[in-house]
Amino acid sequence: MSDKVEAVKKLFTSKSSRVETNKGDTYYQELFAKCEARLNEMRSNTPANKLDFTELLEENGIDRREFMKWASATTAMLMLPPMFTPLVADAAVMMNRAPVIWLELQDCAGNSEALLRADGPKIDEIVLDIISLEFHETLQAASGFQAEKQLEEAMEHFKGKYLLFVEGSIPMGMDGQYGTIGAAGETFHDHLVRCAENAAAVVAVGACATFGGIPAAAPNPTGAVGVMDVVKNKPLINIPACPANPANMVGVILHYVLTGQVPELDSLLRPKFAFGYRIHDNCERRAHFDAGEYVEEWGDVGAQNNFCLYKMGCKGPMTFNNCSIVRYNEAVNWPIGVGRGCIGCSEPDFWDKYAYERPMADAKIKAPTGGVEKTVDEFGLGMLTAAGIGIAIHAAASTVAGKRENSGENHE
Amino acid sequence: MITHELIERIEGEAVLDFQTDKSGRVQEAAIRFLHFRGIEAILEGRNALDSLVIAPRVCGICGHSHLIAAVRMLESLYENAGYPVTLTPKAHALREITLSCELIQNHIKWLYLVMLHESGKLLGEEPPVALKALYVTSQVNQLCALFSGQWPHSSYALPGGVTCDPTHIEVMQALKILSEVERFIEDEVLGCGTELFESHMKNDTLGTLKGDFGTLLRNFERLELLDSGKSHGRFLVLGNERIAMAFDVRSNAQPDLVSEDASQTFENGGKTYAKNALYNGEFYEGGPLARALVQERAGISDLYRIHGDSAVTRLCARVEEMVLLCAQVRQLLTSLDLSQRSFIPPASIETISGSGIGIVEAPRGSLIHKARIEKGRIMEYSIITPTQWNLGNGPSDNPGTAQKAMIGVESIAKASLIFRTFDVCSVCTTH
Ligand code: SF4
Ligand code: SF4
Repeated sequence: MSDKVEAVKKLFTSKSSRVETNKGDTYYQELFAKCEARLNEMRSNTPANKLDFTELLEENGIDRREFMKWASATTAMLMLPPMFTPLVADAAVMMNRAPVIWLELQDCAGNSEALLRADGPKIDEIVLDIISLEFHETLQAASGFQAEKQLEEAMEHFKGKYLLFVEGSIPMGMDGQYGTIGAAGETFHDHLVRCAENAAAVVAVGACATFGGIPAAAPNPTGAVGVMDVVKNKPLINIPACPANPANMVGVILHYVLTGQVPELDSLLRPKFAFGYRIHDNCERRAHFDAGEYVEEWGDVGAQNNFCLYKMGCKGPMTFNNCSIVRYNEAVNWPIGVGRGCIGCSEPDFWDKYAYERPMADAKIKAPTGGVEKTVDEFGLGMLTAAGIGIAIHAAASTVAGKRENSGENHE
Repeated sequence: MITHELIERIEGEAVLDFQTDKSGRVQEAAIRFLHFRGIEAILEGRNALDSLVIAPRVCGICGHSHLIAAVRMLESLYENAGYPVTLTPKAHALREITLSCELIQNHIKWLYLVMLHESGKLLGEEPPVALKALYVTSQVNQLCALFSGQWPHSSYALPGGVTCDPTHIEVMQALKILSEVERFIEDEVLGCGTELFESHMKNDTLGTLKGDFGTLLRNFERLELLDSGKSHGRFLVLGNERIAMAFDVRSNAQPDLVSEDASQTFENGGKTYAKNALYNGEFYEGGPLARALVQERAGISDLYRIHGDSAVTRLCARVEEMVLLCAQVRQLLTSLDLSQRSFIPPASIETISGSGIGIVEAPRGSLIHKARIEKGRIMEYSIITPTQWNLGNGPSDNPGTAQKAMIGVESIAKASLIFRTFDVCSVCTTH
């Protein structure tokens, strides 16, 4: 047990759990030069689809100024200094040069739906539309056998270059028979391994694909696991949450187009630009938390006045995600906006660790003492239940987390 | 000859096994679903309120319907345990609004991303880029999120009401979005005002519609499919009105006549994870067509008298429902009394034991959540999803609703298109 505690401590106090927004001029200048070179190289590639970004902008009545405003906001979201704005704009125009193959495994289609619904201003939508989704079972033109053929062709044609997005968990029980795909009945496991083989990087999207999600909740009837338990020896990015925020999916692709690299990741392989802070750090109800004003019962005076939801079980203080900034559905709202609190869906072991209706006090999770200003490094320790520790260790052992945290941004 | 056909689009994957004659005409069709997650087992043993967050995750496509089904199940449980829960009209209206949003955006998505797309492909035409449809569906989801926090996977409803406390600002925003959606439906989908659309249904002159729906109907006409796709002519609505209609005879529907049949599942040597849902031991059709017919809505009833439950009637029912739902949402938004409470706390769930049932009319038909709870813990949880009604897989002498509709269709490709008129969805079916 004490080994485990030590390991968790290491995990949460590692450098990678901190966000460094300023890495110094030299770093950014070098990165800038690298991105320029990368974009030049991309420019000479033939686009994978014929959609023209600039034309689409025009058709939708979006002018240059509006587009550049979007680019500068996106630059900030990716935690890059303003000088990168023109490069981000260029990268957006060239999104159709980064082929994406999207697999749906044991899922509820929630992430595809979220992607389809393209939150964010209209421009995000166009960016998403132009992304070269070389294969997405649900969105593509082809279906059935034609689709299988198309997948083979896309994998062959973009060998070593495509980003493999995976939605849904992988059932390992009963020899993988809880989920099979195609006429030949290939198991999700084999399908994933085969498709990952020649990917440039694998992106696990949503709670299920990252850490197993709801299907992996006890008693985990199908033996569901996340992608990182199956795919080894590949750059892997986790974009957890249920559903994952489309802004973060776009961010990852954009970052890849721009730099040719995987963004900087935390020890759970989540991009720091999105998972570098806790919900609680930027929550609109935070002032009430600090003032000790809480909702004590659904529908009470506190609820009517938008007080803090901590006592109702809000998991914002221990959940790393940017929903408090990006929000959902074109930024109109988010769960805390309607008084229901955060459920910690972007953390490992969602649902068992954080079960919503278990306010923190009952969950034997230490209430934040001395304010919640502490980083997860200290805070995380008190909060992990035994099951949580198991998962965290597992995550650390089964991924290349350790390696990645030192090497930072140098993966293809 | 036997052919396996994969069906996969927004709604996950299904496998159809066709038996055809020499000319390629469909003699028999079996429907198989090959995924499983075990959500009912995951719910068991947990706090009953956890179902409000886990149940929506059964399906990212109609998760809101699952939320409302779960909350109604809990409220019926309270009621049965002798602690009736009171909802203010405001809380009730807000739930209806968000639920309707899920239906509206689903129907638009089905029209553009599935039907126009697939029918165009069959005619050898380049499928259109559906940007405008994506834009409008994201607007509808915004309207929903104003009150529900996010879509998909919102969890803002609880026994006793809803957690949001909207102000006039949200209501104004919602009305503004709604106007845009209504304009989209008139200008793009129908190509005419809603009254004219009604009269086209009445006079059976839909072929002259100018909008995208007109294009869809003409695609079906060119494929000679308008009058194909007839099924059993038995319809079921278990949501607000509980009505069953078999061979035009209407009766009150009893939830206890609903049963699940596992004879075709792997468990019993069959080939699918999906169980069939039966009413009174028989396959019934659920969804927009069933709702329009049991409510005796004029346009669809007229079409039904002429064309029966064929493709044209089924397609129209889904489109007509979007029009109707927009009008209902407008009515609900304008009559909201914001001074009412959003939530009235019920007794603590830990004091409650018994059984509950929650039924919702989801985009594709009746969705049922049933549970037995002991002192606030879930002992048993059972979900029957809409697709289990429509895509039930029966033996050849007693085919399910969609199976029956595909029999006799000229080719496998066309039968697959008929299959999609039911707005198929495998995600929740194999929960
Ligand atoms: S992560 Fe959430 S949205 Fe995604 S498949 Fe899993 S339950 Fe559905
Ligand atoms: S506890 Fe939750 S509601 Fe309260 S400030 Fe933190 S994130 Fe916001």
